[in-house]
Amino acid sequence: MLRKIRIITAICLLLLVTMLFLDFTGTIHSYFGWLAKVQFIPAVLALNVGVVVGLLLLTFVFGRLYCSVICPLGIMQDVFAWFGKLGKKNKYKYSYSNNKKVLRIVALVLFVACMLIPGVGVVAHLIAPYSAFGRIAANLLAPIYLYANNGLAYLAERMDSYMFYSVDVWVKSVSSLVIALITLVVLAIFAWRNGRTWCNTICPVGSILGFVAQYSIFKPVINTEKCNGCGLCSRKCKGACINSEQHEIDYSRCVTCFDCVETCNRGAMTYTRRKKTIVEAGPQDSSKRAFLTVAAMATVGTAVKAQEKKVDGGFAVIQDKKIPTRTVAPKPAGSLSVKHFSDHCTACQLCISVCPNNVLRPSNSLVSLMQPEMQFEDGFCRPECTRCSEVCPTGAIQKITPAEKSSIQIGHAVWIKDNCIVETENKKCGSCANHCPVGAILLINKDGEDSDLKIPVVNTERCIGCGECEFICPARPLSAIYVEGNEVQREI
Amino acid sequence: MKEDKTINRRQFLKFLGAGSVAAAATLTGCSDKNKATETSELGEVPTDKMTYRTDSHGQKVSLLGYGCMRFPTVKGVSGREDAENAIDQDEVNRLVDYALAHGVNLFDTSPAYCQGRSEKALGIALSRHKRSEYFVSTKLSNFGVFTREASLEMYYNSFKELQVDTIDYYLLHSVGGGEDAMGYFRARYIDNGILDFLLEERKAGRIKNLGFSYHGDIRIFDYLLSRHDEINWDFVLIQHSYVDWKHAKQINPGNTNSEYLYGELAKRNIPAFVMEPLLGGRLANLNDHATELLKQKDPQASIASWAFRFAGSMPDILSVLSGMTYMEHLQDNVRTYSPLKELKENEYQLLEEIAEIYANYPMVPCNTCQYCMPCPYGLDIPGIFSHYNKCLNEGTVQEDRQHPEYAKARKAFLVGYDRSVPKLRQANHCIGCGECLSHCPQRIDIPKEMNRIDNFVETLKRNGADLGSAVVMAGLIKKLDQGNFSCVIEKDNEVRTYTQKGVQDLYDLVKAQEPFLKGAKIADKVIGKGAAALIVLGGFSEAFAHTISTSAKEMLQSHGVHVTFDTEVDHIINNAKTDWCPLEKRVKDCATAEDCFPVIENFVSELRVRK
Repeated sequence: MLRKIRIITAICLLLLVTMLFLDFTGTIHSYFGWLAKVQFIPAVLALNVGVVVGLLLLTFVFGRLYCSVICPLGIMQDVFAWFGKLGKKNKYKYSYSNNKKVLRIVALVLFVACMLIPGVGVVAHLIAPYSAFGRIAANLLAPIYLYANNGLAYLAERMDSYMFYSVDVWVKSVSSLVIALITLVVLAIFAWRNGRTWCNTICPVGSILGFVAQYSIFKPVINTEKCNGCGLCSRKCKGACINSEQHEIDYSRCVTCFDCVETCNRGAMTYTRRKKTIVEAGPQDSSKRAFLTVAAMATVGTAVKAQEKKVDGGFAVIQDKKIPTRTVAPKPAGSLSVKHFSDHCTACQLCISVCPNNVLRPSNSLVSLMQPEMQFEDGFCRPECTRCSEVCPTGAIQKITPAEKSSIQIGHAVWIKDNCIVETENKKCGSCANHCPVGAILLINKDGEDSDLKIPVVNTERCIGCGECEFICPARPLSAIYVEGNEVQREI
Repeated sequence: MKEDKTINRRQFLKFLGAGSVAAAATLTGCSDKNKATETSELGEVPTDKMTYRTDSHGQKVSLLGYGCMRFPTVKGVSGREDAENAIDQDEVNRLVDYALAHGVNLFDTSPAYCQGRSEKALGIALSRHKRSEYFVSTKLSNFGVFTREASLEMYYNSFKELQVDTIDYYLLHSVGGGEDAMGYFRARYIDNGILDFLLEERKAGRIKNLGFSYHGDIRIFDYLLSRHDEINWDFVLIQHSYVDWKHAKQINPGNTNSEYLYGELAKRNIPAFVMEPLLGGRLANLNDHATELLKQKDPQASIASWAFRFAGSMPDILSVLSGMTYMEHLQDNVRTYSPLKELKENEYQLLEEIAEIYANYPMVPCNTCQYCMPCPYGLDIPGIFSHYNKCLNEGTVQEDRQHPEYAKARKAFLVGYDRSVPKLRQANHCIGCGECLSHCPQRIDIPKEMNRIDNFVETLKRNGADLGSAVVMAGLIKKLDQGNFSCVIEKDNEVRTYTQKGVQDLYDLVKAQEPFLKGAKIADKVIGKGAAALIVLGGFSEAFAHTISTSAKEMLQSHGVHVTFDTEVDHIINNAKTDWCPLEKRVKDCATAEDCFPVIENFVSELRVRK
């Protein structure tokens, strides 16, 4: 019974957390956004004392329930493990092993050190369970979901319905994609073969909660009077923590899955105050995919040469924009500062998944690998949108309102004379100034007084760094105006 | 956009299909056939009932002319928009054969049509028929390069492509366009001696009929007709529909009512070809009210058939050109004119009523002719206009957030926008370079319209979010500059604009103790001390001015009004720039805002008395 409840709850939560990364409309977030915020590491980073204490208390009372019910990565591993146990001969394939205490401590210490030392946070992000899961969902599952959505949108369009609308699907970062894929494969293999190996060796949350779980009030206990030493429980235990010969359970590794309780046919294993446990799973998809950039921006057109007769129709080719080199990468409004951001972001990429403007994508640079970065070649940070700040579970991006957003300067625009078509082609433009949502760009005469041609000047006091000018600039492949980030975000 | 078109056309067909059957059947006056249509939806297309008109040289021309600007491509869409796929020659052959077999004998093309592929395709199709069976019409479309050499090359090339020795109807293509229409016309046809050359060619018999197609600047039309005695135009191609008849100018100040055009031609006995009988398809798809009126009159007739009947009913119309992509278009149009059922007096009245409804509808008068394309910055100009017009028609252009249908309309507009126009080809990418301006036969101020549509899209996207004062103020300034208002005031998402000179509007508002001012934001061109006093008295929270005087700034700041500005000056000067601004001078020594008020009151009343 306990096991069934555990499985059903876990599957529901796994699906919901996954949906947070897939649902681009924001509907799920308004109801279940909190699921990301009760994850252990994000809560620690957000200094969310309530949640951290709550989780520790939960563990102190019931054992590592967190690992079997709340942690999406843990549940995902259970899914793989479930596949690994299909077939008669695999049903009881696990066995007890010793606690790799040294490895666990080393991993935990390394993790904490990497979190604290600037520049190497990426190592920590790699193994932080929630963010590892987030990357898998955002990089591997989201594209499939979006393709499916686009399929529906295609049908809806044919039926003149506006129920579904098409979204861009694109590889936001190759490095993140590869990392997500490797994480998935490694975890799948571990889980398939040995259950929760990863959770009980590398995972920092597993180690911390494991420490608390040793003293938990409720735990699986072996009744030695009933036990005949058959060892079924031990062979069923994915935590490999039941030493049936000694009638001992290593509670630091027990994830409270109730498998042993269910397996023991002599009723020797009970979940009660004092004594033992294990884990199991549900369905999940894992095939690898080819990623292609889809539609919406079908920039294919016909090259129309300057011809002697002007033909009616056709599209000019639109060259793709290149990403400019920025001294400081701007961070989403609400990040306070580059430092605050990199200290708190655990690279779960939830913000990237929800960004509706094609601005956020995982960084490829070593220092901020997998963390989100802002680019403006396919869109800009729209003034009314505060989605990333709403979903961020770690407080790396603090919650802001649209009104606050328009007075937060995350960077400022810089004009590049050599790219501006007013300079290079003597064309009238002024797109950047006309589109600036805060009126930070003024147009001044290009050459002295009587000129039709106007060039932009940026009032950096007013500019908020939203990137609309960079996005809208007709100069291609490099915009003639681009956003340079602020180390510390300012209120203006 | 392509998608849009097909849908439009499909709807068009739907209308046309059912309607014109009945019309065609009654037209023939054959009651037996009429009954036959009751069993089959679409009766036989008549092969021998086409209405013909006689041209300047006594030739019989079919009232339906085949416009070849929309030949299908192998993908089954119009070759006008689809550059990637080849013209479907087999289908073109089939269409041309069918047209000829059903009495259509005029084919109109241009070197520019279907992105330069129309003439060749038409030539191939026609060359399979006897030369005496058809008339061919083409144009000198020297829009870009108008040297004599290039123009001649284009002229001779038409013979080659069309595989003919004579051209029955030859036109100076789209005269009246360009910012300097006369200069543009001269450059294309006069200075390079091309008009003289064409007159010689007509004399030599290689051109049977010489004419011109006209859009835009009326002076060119008048000028060309004034030379009629000398040139002797054989025909003229004009835009003519029941909307253009009396309302062309109302919809588009650059255009001229076809009542005038037709009248001028009729006066001189010059027969006319008609283009855009459906206004680029827009007259096949009217709004609900207009549709209802037409359907009440005749539930069977399609909306489009009315436009065709109107265009064909006037006696001096030689032929009505319709760009047909699909066999169904052709069949339906053949039906409408086999034979033509002329409009009755009360039907003219009804169409005038419809035209009035239409003209008062804020559509962009774009006929999706694609002459503006390709936009150098990649915009899909006709696509954007089509979407906007379609939404106007469907009632999904809705800015008022209180409106019960707002949410639905917003979604339909935005989702539909992304579907019909790729993101990088949408209105926000217009830089206002104006390259398109001289190409648009309707002389639409394309950059201005783009800006307007973009602002609308932006408003929808922002969806009434409370964006904070920086963004709100920037929006007000934009509005102030683009609308050329004297000041713009905003409170709680409501924006009001004012146009009176000086401080008059502000004075009136403060005088009336308008509660709207409490805590509002104002953007003004110039704020002197007088205006500042009024702003303080009105209880504004924030003010912007392009130019502000130091005393005004200090007064506002001392009362806690948040002030931003472009330029600060010692004092405001008068319009003639000779002296201080008179009001600035008068309130110079007032210590407080309250002290200023009576002075301003006097000033304004004096100003008004003088007027």
